Amino acid sequence: MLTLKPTVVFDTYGGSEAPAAIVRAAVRMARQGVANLVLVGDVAALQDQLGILPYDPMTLRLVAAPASFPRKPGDTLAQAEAARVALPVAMELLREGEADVLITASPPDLVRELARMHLRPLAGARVLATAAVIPTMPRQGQDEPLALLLDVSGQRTVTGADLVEFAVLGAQYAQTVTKVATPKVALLSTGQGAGDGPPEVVFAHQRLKTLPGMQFVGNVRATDLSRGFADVIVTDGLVGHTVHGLLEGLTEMTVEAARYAWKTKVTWRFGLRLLSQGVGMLRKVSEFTSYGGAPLLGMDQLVLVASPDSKEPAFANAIKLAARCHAADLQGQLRQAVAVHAASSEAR
Amino acid sequence: MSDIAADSSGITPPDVVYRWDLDKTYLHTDFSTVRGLIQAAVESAQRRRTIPGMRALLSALWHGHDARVVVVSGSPTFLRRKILALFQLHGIRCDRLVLKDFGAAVAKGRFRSITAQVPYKLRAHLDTRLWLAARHEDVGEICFGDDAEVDALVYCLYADVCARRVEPARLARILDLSGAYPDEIASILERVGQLAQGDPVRRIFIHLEGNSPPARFGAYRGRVTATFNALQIALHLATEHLADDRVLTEVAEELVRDHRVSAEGLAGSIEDALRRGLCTRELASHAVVDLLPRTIAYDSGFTPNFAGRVAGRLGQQLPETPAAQALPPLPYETLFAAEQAFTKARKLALQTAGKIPGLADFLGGRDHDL
Repeated sequence: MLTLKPTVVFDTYGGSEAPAAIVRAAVRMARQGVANLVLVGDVAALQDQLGILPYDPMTLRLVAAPASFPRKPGDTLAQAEAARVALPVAMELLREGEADVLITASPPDLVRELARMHLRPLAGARVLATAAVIPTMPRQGQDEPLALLLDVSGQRTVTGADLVEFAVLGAQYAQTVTKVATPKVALLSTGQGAGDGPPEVVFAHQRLKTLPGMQFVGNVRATDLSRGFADVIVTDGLVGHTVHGLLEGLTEMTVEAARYAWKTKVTWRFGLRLLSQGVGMLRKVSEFTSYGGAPLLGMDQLVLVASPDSKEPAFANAIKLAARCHAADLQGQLRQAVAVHAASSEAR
Repeated sequence: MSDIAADSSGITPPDVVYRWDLDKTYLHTDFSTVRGLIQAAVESAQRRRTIPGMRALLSALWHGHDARVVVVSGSPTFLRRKILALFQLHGIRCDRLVLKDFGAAVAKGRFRSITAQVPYKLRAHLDTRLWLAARHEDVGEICFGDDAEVDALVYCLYADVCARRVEPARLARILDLSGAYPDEIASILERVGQLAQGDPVRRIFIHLEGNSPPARFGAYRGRVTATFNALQIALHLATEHLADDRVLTEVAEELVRDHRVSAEGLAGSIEDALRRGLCTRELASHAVVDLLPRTIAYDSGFTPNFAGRVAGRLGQQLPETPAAQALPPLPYETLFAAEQAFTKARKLALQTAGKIPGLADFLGGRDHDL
């Protein structure tokens, strides 16, 4: 097990509150000794932010990317263009061993595209999966009612073998990082039967059922997604993306509804106050932006993709997550799991 | 105030005077708390921790020049032997050591003197300057302090008083504001009168030990150089030709050997020094490429390959234009109020975070990850 403090490299162009929220989170986490930080971006703009904070250059470095930070706040298009320049610089630091984990809140499609170009895939891995955390109902033995959903990349997953590999990566992640001894793995499908769903799901169902070391619990339907039947839910990238977006939208809608109720009637406001503790807990669990980052699984180096709406606590949580993944040697465990899976697939 | 020359057998005038504070500048001590005082009193010189790199810095500077070392500290006089033993252990001759006589202050019922730093330190600096002048050793000075107390303000005031940039009447007002007793003000003004006009202070370094951002010292209009560590001080001195390669390498070696600073930590310090205009790009590049890979920093990962990558990026660090060196008198009254407010706020924040359960967690943010 690795025990050294990781070096986390940050793309500072991603996110609606970049770069200020990233700089504040980085300074705080570096000071708390969670990780050493490298911020990639517009050095002049970053130094302006740093100058008013009690940072330590021994634990927080700046690396220039040849792109200025967009002057207009919220110019996401310009931010993405800048990230297109900054991410290869950050990925080079990963490749050269100057950093252990990359965190970015830039558009996930762009991150995937550049990761394929600038990073090496895990030996034996054919797929690249974007994982996301979704809230579930509380389960026995689980501290936090969460499940891992993958793939949420928005890309169509072509074959059943790809879904099987997602399951291998997701299960290993849950085992290593979430410390679930034997994670329950499920496939998202139209029905619970082995023959329900499109051909690639049927194929994956058959393979996962007999895959050694895999605790496959069968198919789950969309309505069961948040019921906590599984620790890892595997699905096609486009479906996963849609489901994840829908859940995010629902959370926002709930919060808006509560805000509306608060403003509209005094009695509703009174009711909300009575429920405040429960509402707070619900919000804590369902607030997507606070989870930190979603791992990009299948590359030789670890990349965490944070929500574009991330604020300082979410960026800080992403750094903590990066430190946790590094301490548990996630990449080493994934490398091993993929190698074993590739060998067993060849044997078949 | 207790002022004793530890040893001072200079025959020819020295090149430079190094004026040091102790607590949090040279030593990792906290004389402002009872616990820190007790620890300092019982700890042996061998076990006493110095601020990373400072021992090597002072030692290399002192051995490289014919220099005087003057130490003015708010530490109590009963620590004198321990402190002198420490300097002896470090191979440095302390020419003048001034410590605060708390016993005398209490005996005279001057309780304000216990906490007031500005009158005590200014008088001590002037006394030691007069001592140097009497020996015809009134050469340029480099001052070292920290951000925990009012070192920046006192050193600037000392420089302005020596250069007569602060009129006696204004000095009296500033001292009165900072808690000086009338006879203390009179004695300080008397010392100023005895001192020949000059501008001895070449550079004031403030070590950022108390969690201050560098911007806090912007109010000093470029007269104070805020540094995060000894390597940055060495780099700045080398840029001004007041230190050589030996000082840089010895500081870096102490940081790596005794404080386990990584190659990235050294690189980060140099990059930051370049960005904040503390050193030139040429010097930064020289340190990265020619010096550090040949020291024990190599073992911590500062290989020629790593050095090459860091050096390649130095050009992108956009050094700031060095601060203007115009020296109008500073708004000491406002600065004093700001320094006091900062100290109070910091104390309060530390006390509160320690006493209220869960507050430290709250300040640390929520931990939410799968």
